[in-house]
Amino acid sequence: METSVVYEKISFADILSVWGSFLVSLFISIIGFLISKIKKNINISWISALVSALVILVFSVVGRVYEDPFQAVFFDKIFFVSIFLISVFSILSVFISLSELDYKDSLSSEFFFFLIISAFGAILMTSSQDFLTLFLSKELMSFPIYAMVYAFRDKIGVESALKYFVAGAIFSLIYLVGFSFFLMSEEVIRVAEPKGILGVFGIYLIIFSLLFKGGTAPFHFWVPDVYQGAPASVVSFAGSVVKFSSFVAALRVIDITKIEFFVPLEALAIISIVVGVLGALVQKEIKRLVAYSSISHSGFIIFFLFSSGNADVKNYLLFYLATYGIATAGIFGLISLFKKNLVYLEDFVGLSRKHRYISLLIGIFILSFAGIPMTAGFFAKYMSFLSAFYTERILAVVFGAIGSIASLYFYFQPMSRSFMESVENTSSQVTASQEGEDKVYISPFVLFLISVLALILIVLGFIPGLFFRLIGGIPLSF
Amino acid sequence: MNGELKGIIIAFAPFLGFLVNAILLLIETRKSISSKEHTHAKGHHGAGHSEGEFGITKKISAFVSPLAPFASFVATLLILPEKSQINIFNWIPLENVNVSFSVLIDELSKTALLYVTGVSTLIHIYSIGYMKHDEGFVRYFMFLNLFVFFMIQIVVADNLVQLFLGWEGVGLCSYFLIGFWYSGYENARAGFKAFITNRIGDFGFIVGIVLFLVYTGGVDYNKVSLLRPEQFFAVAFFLFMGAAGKSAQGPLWLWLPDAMRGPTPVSALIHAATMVTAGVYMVVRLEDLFFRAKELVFYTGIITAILMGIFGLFERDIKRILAFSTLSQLGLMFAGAATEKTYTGMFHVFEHSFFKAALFLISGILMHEFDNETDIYKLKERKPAERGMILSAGGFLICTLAMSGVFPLSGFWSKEAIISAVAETFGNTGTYLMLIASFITPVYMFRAFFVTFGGQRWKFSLSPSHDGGSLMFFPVLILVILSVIGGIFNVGAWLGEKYGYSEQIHHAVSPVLVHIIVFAGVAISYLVWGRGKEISERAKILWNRFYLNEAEEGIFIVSGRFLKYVSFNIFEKVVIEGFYSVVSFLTRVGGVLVSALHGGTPARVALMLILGLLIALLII
Repeated sequence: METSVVYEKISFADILSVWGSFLVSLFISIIGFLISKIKKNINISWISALVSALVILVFSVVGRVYEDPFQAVFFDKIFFVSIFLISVFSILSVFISLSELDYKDSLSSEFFFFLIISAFGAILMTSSQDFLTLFLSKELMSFPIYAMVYAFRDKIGVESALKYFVAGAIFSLIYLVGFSFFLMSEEVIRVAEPKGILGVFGIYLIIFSLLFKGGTAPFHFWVPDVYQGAPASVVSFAGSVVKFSSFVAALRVIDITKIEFFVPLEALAIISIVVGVLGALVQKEIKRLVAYSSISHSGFIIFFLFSSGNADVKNYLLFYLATYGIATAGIFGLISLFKKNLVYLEDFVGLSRKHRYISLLIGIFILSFAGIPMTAGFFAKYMSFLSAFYTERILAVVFGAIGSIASLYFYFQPMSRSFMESVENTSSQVTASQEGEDKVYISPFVLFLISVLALILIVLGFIPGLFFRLIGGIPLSF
Repeated sequence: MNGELKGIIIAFAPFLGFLVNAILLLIETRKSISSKEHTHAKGHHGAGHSEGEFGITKKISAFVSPLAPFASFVATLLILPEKSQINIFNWIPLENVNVSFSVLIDELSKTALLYVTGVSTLIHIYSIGYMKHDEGFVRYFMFLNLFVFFMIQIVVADNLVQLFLGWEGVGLCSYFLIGFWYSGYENARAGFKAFITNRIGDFGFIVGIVLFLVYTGGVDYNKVSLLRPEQFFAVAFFLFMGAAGKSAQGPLWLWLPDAMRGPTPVSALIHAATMVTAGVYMVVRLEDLFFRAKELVFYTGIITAILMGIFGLFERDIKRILAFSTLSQLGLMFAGAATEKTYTGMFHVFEHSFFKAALFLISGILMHEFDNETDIYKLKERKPAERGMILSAGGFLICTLAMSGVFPLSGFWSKEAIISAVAETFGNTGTYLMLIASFITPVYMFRAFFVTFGGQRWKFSLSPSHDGGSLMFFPVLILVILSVIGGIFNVGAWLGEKYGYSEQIHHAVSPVLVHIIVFAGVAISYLVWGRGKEISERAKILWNRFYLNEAEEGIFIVSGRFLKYVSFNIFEKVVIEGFYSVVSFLTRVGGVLVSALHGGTPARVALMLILGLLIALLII
């Protein structure tokens, strides 16, 4: 693919650092999981999950770009950025889950193990060199999440998990159909430019199934139900990591195969934006609302796929996915703090009176979702429009502009409610809130982590170039 | 001190003030929560009293807040002899479009910086006195400082994106400050109205920026020359939509009179002296662009100037009268900016900022003294001039004369320049319209003056104790003095030199004629409203018998009210609210339909997914 990249001479230390760090990380999480399973009264699986995420985080900082001798994975810049972001999101998800799950319960010990396995799948998925690795890593990412959705072991959870599983199975099938078409036509498993029409069609199907994972309409019917039924911490993981890896993988496939895919992509983007925005307008539950907003965000992310060959656009996509992931992790992290006391939009009424700081943080994340200036979301949206302009997809831009204006309405719903005081039945409100306050334990550490996320969004909202400097893209000159 | 440092001080000193105030606000909230809990525990019912105290946070805020714009002002004075373009940092570093965060210092921005920072320093000082007893003191100054920061961004921007940042920022602060006392439903509604109306303007502005970007491949001002002739009008039209929204011109005037619900110093600073002139500033800044659409700008401006003057005649609320006068003067500025000598518009912005700020601050003093009374007829009953509020009365007179353009007050110089420039560019039609506008100004402004201060025995004693205390007295005094001597700064000639108009202003219309028209306006105003108590008993009977009291309220009442009714109802009720209700209904129906597709059993989800896939395959 990137012929311009000069790979450094490969050394034994490099191979050791990649596969070694992965194996060490995997080993740690397995050990932690096993100990927690055998010794019923202790649960150290979350600690081992944290440590193993930290190991790959360190690797992403010290690792070097080189060529994979097995021809399975691209060890390039996007790979390292993906490892960095995915391990950060995983660490966040571990902490967020701790406040929501009963982690002393040995049953939840596999939760953290699954989380790490899924993160591994996501990492490999962003950088697969062939369609087989891509498929396996996609499934490696998905299967643990089906189980994680069911972490609460309640009725709505099992329904969501089943729906997610069925939907995922259908699109795995679609992927395999596409893959076999490609294989028939091209007789290679490497991601490559297809020659026959059958190969092109196969790649279409493969991209559809990747976009399905990213929650793009019209393959989005699982999104609202899964977001609603799953624990907030799982949604935070799924929203940040799964979306990230699916779209990066889709970008890679489109970039390498160089197929002209404009019209269907534009149509999918417009459908996603319309469905996401219209659906969100009438929702009464915060999780469903964010689910529909995530569908509309998928539409905006597709804008980047139009001009996938452009090096700038790759950086922009990473910026969008990173800031979107941060905002998703932040808002579901905050929701998870309240356990099940913050489900409906009506529950937001008077929130700012009880939890002033938390409602401020929710405000920042939602403003970033909405793409209001002075948050990172603004630049993310700006970049997505810019990418669409590069290839002159004007219709998509028009729908995007209308959609982002209309979306302001539902984004402001939770915010305006949280600053609103309920005038009627204040007495019942007070008793309810007092009961609620007894149940809510706000972990100060998680709150601190989420404040850092909010701070990052604000800083990037003023100086977006900082991100590119971090990932070594366009240099920022002060 | 090098130029770069000065530029940074100009651009960021108010932001520093904002940060300090934000920290103070956090401290104060924490304190007030604990003190509230304290008083609740004790069972006191007078919790509101403690908030009126002038505590330590308020003291720090009162000290820091005026200092922030003052620092910018001093830096502006120091940078006056220089001319530079300081690139502070690359804000949005993209490969094709590089947007820098910079400080552009030329004659135009220096002029604007002088009045923005100078007037806002005075108004900050005034506000300390005005808001002393308000519990939201720190919050108020936080937004005020933030406002100044964004306003400076508008002025010093060298590209459209930085301009847009300031543009949205001042709007945001403006909504917060209009709805500052957000407990009142009407106040919140006024803020909302300003928000909605500005959205229409901003929509045009964004489209304008995008067109500019697409046509020229950049957002810097100097890229204007890359536009092709046939592209000029579209870009100018959409950008002018933005300018009309911010400066409340044409059909977008609706929000400004309602914006007067905010604290009076806010009205003075934001809705009269600075923010609303941003539109004029942009038109002058992008003169090469707007020159291709000069008819659009001129006729929108001049028609607004005349219509708003007429509407001003039917208002009893002193702040709303001033709001209409602002609208009218803004129209004149646009008229000036549309001519070949664009700088005349900016010149009038500069001079206007002094007397309009002074007028608003005087109305603030009146409100402060008389329990927030704003009705001019009720203010008259309080007899402000007999109480020795000589600064208010005299200052109001001077500023009214200045606004009417009487020699040698500040307004004369700029208005004269505009009339001559319009006569040169737009010929007779333009000149007549300008003369009508100059006739209306004294009529409605002197109406306010005669009603409020007329028929009273003026007590001449210039002392701060009568006029709202020294914190409010001296800023107003300075502004009044500036309105008198504003002409000596010779900003017009200075600005004119930049554009190569070094020759003396050519008087196309004799200043004497203008003065005759102005004094005719004053005379009419005096005849109708000026005599107050001196009307004899017989005349009074006559006056009442012929219902001239009603006539006083509106010789033009039918026409004027009708016009206002039409533009208000047709435009606001039908167009804006109708549009919004139709759109919201359709989207709701769409939303219900869309969400009905979702949910259900896993089998249904699977079915829908397969249908979705079929749709996607059909698109291929």
